[in-house]
Amino acid sequence: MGWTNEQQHRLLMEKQILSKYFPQFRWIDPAGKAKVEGVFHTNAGNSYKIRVYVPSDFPNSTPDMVVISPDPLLDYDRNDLSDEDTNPDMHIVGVKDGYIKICHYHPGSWQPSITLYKVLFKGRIWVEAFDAHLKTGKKLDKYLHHWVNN
Amino acid sequence: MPNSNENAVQTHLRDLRKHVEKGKSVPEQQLIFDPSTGQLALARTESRPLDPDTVVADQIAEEGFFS
Repeated sequence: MGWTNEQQHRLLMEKQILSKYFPQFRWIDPAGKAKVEGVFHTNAGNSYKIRVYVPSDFPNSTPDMVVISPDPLLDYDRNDLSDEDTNPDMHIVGVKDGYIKICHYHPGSWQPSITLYKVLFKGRIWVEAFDAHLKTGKKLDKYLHHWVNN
Repeated sequence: MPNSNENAVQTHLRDLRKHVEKGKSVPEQQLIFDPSTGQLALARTESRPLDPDTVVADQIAEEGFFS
């Protein structure tokens, strides 16, 4: 994949922001099929490894974000969440490369000004809500409300 | 002093969701993110962030999650 000069400039800015706020995240194959991976440690002490796929037309389309560990990701009832394609109650939008794809920004509302940092921030909140689900059995939509188009 | 207790943070997320649904703002406390620890925490709304890098997470949570 060849990034345009404009994209390279943008990705450099993204890297600088992430190194400040999420320094544990690393860039994978930045000149090819770029991804960002790192581990979130929740307040309860659980760890979730997250991957964000940087689309080839970045920042013009919504990046996918998946949970790559724990694998499999089991819910309160010990069901493998990747067995279902989508699960709106759990804010899961599908499966990619065998990993569950988690909700963040609505593709129809995506703006090029939205940074990977903000996408990952939603991931950080998602894993905190997932911890709450594991403790209470309540679905994630009891903690995170659904996107409303304005 | 921000409260990073997991139960308090998770309860805040649940309450924030209810408040957004009802079109109300969440009083008294806001969710913040401390990049130096990677932890979410609660701080009084009127208090100034302890660190200039501290980020208010409420706004991002209030936007909602697409699914």
